[in-house]
This record gives sequence, C-alpha cells and structure tokens, in this order.
Amino acid sequence: MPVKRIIVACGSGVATSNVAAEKLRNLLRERGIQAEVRAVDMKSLESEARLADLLVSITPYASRDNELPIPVLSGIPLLTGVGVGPLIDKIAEMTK
Amino acid sequence: MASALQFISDFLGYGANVVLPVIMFILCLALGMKWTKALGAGLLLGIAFTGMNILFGFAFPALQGAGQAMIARFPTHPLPAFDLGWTVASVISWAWPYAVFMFPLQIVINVIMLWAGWTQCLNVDMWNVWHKATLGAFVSALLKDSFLGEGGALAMGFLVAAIWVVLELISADYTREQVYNLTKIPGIAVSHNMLLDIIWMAPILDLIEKIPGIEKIKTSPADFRRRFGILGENYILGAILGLIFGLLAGFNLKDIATLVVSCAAILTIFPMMAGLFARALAPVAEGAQEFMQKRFPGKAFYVGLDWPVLGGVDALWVTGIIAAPFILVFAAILPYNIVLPFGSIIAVSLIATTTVLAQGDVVKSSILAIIGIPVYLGAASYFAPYLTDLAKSTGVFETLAKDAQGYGMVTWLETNAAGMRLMVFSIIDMFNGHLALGAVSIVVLAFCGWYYVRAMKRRENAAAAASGGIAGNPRPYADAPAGAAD
Repeated sequence: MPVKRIIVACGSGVATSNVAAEKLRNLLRERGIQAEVRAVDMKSLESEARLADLLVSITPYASRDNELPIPVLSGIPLLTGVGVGPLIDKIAEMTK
Repeated sequence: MASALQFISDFLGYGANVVLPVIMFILCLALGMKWTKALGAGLLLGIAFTGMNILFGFAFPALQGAGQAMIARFPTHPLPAFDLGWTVASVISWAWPYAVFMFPLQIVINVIMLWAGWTQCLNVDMWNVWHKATLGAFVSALLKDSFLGEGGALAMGFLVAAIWVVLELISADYTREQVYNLTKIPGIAVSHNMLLDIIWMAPILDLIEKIPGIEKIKTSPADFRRRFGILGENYILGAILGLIFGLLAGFNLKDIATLVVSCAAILTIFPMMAGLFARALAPVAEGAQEFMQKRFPGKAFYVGLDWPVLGGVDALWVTGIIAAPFILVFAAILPYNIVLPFGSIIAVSLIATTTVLAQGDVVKSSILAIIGIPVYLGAASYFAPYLTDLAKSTGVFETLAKDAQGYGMVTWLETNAAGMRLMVFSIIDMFNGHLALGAVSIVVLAFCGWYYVRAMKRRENAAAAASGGIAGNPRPYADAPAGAAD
C-alpha cells in the first residue's frame, strides 16, 4: 500500500516533532511527493498509528515496539541533517 | 519622524498577538524566506497566542473554582499558582520584547566556542531558545529596581542567558556518552538545559549508590510502561487530576464530572496550541540550523538536540509515573509551596535528567527524582510571579489581567534546571542587597562545579565502557577512573 499519511512523533507532540514535520513537508514538496505529514505525541502512538501509513520517529521507542501496524523510520536525520537524502529516498520509494 | 516613532510605540502596545506576527514576518524576510511563507509563519504565531488566550479564558475560571473551594476547605495552605505546563510557559516567554535576540546570542556563542575548541557540540535545538528568553526576562525583572537601573538589569539578563548557552554546551559535552549508552544514536548529544541540574544531583547519586543492595534491585521498566502506558496520556492525566481536585474541593457529583472533563480538555488542547507555535517557529529554526551546519562542514562535532531523543527510554516514563503522586503529596505538605501541580504532573525535565544520570536504572532514577521534587516546587513557586507578570504584559491574557484579587498565578513545574536557576537567581539577588543566600549559593555551586567535572568524567567512562563508546573508544577520559561508582 503506498504511503499517503505520515506521522512524526516526539516526546510531547509539540516542539521537536513539529519542527521535524515542517522540514519533512518541505523536503517532500521539493521532490513533488504528495503526502500528508502530521506531528504527534509518542504517548498517543497506538491510536495515531491507526490513522497513518508511516511513522517517522524522533525516539527509538517505536522501532523496538513491534505492536505498531505501520512501518517505522528514524527521524533523527531531520534534526541532525546527516543522512537526510537516504531518508527521503526511502520515503519516496514507499509512496509509490 | 516623531509621528513615525509615535506610531511604532503605539503599535508595540497593541498586544503580543498583533505585534509578534509582524516581528516574525520581518525576521523571516530577513532570513531570505518567500513573503508568502513569512506571512504564514507570522500569522501562525498570532493564531497560537489567540488560541492560548481563549484557553486561558476557559482554563482559569475552571481551575480557580476548584482552587478557591480547596482553599476554603484547607485555608492554611493555599496553592494559588497554577502549573499549566511548559507549553504555556514557552508561549508566554515569546512575549518578552527581546526574546528573538536569543537566537543570534545562542548561535554566535556556539560558533565561537566551536571555533575555539571549547565545545564539540553544535546545538541545533532552536526551539529551546525560549528558556534563555525566560532567564533574560526574569533576571531583568528581578534587578529592575536595583542600582543597576533598567538598562543594567537588561544587560544582566542577556549575560545570564549567555552563561546558560555556554553551560548547556559544556553539559552536552559531559553527558554525551551517557546519552549514547541510553539511546544508541551516534553523533548526537542532549543540549537541553534541564541536564544542568546534574550539577547538584551527581553528588547525591553517588551517596544513593552507597546504599547497600541498591545495585541488586532488578526492575523491568518495559513491562511497567506497557501496562501503565495509558496513564502517560495527557487527557487521562488531566481527568485523574480533575477527579482529585474535585474531591478535595468537596464538589458535588455534577461539578466533579464537569471538572474532570474540563481538566482533560485543558491538558489536551494547550499542547495543540503550543504546537502551532512550534510550526510557526520551524522555518526560523531550520534557517538557523542550516546556517550553522554550513559553517562547520566536516569538523568533528556532536549535534545538540532536544530531550525527545530520550523518549524511547522506558525508565524515563516509569520514573515519571512513580514521581507523579509524590509531586502532589509534596505540594500539599511543603510550607513554601504555592503551586497546584497540574500541567507538569509528568515532570519531564526532572525525570529525563534523573534517567540520564542514573543510566536508566528505575530505582536510582526515582529516588533522585523524589529528592528533586521539593527543588522543582521551590522553583515553580519562586518564578510564578515573574511568569505571571510577563503573561500580563503581553496584553493578550485578559483573564489574568482582570484578576483583581491577585488570586491565580500561572507557572510551570518543569522549570528546567530548577536547582541551578534558584542558585543563580539567589546570587543575582545580591545586587538587590540580599547577600546571605547568594553567598551560600556561591559556595554550594563552587563545590558542585568541582565535583561535577570529576563525576562526569567517571560516569562518561562507565557509560562508554558499557556501550563500547560513541567513537569506539570505551574510555574517552583517560585521566579519570574507568569503574562505575569509584
């Protein structure tokens, strides 16, 4: 199933996730990729994951929990700037 | 010319919800952003302030009703300062007229320190410049009647903010192996100012580790978190607190039920409003980030990030759930406390710090956190009038401004680095002629600072030995002992 709805999670769903989500939105737009990006609170992940196709997580939390029904990518590159290209490539692949 | 100045001074009096969008718009244009995006960012700020104001209008009467009923029943221990959480404090801090100058302050200091080799941390966490804004605003408020005058007070505000920037970088350097051992994310550090409180926690943890048998207690935080995970959700916490407040206030069933839903709503909707704020500031944060990364390509450094990189550590949330009831109990019994804990009942800045220092050991982390709660309540009580005055000065929060009896202050329990802040403010208060407490703080700080460097080298080595080290070096500080606790 092609990824259409992406959630970006951090510890509060307020600061880091919104900053990372905004960056992801811009990067996807530059590539012409159509996807909705939302910032969420990692504490609400179980309910948020039902309304999304991909999780980009600022915390390693979700990658360890196999309970989530959606694939998980690390969002750390969005913060450090290291490895952004490969991350966007991967997401681009998933949106097809 | 005179009329133009008059217009500007009139305009600045219109209130933060109108003034900030314009400042933001100009700032974004200066950063080379397209005018449509700049306009969007500015408007979002105004929207966030407006939303906060609407919520205040709802939240304050709801909490005040319960608060006053509680005071009527327990008149000896009034708690007039509402802890509305860091999200509210962060938004209020941007109302300080000089807040945006904290961006260049942080960037310039970081660049100089990297260039001089005094730090290896490139702090790209532009969101948390708001902490420096609170320091600047509070210090200048504390000193405005001193012999320094208003200009001198403002200069001191910037000086303290600058010192904070330096300390954050040093703290990031001295905790990065401990953070790596918990997160296993290479190339990062946590440059959040909450970790500054390790300075007084480090000697205390060394004492805790002397308790016989403490190292042997085994816990499985992952199971605990899975079972009690839902307790960490904002609306559940809000509902539980609403129920407790309603019962303490002696409300009838209908009023209790209403309070439960109101409190759940407050804790759910405030972060959403602050999220708008983060979105509005995101382009600025990104611009600053790119600016710094372009200037240091290839140079070996760690990227300083906000605390959520620690969010995957189960011990953090378990410590938070264990500490929460203690926060309520301490708030009820400590005579100096004036804070009604609410928005920061999961006090992340405290529990994330203890989790890093205790390296994910729930027992040690919880003991440290419980010891830290009185300090945090003290800071939240101390800073309540400052944050309230700043909120009133925005010209936006009518509910606060209309509060004639002075009952009802706003504060945040997650005053980051609460102990450090209290010590620093008592030292600054010496300019007002209050010498005794400041002198004590200087002695305590000097001891803690000396101890900190030794303790951190030892703990960094221990963390590196456990993880193998960020750069594959299990003993980054060759001059310190490699063992865990001596």
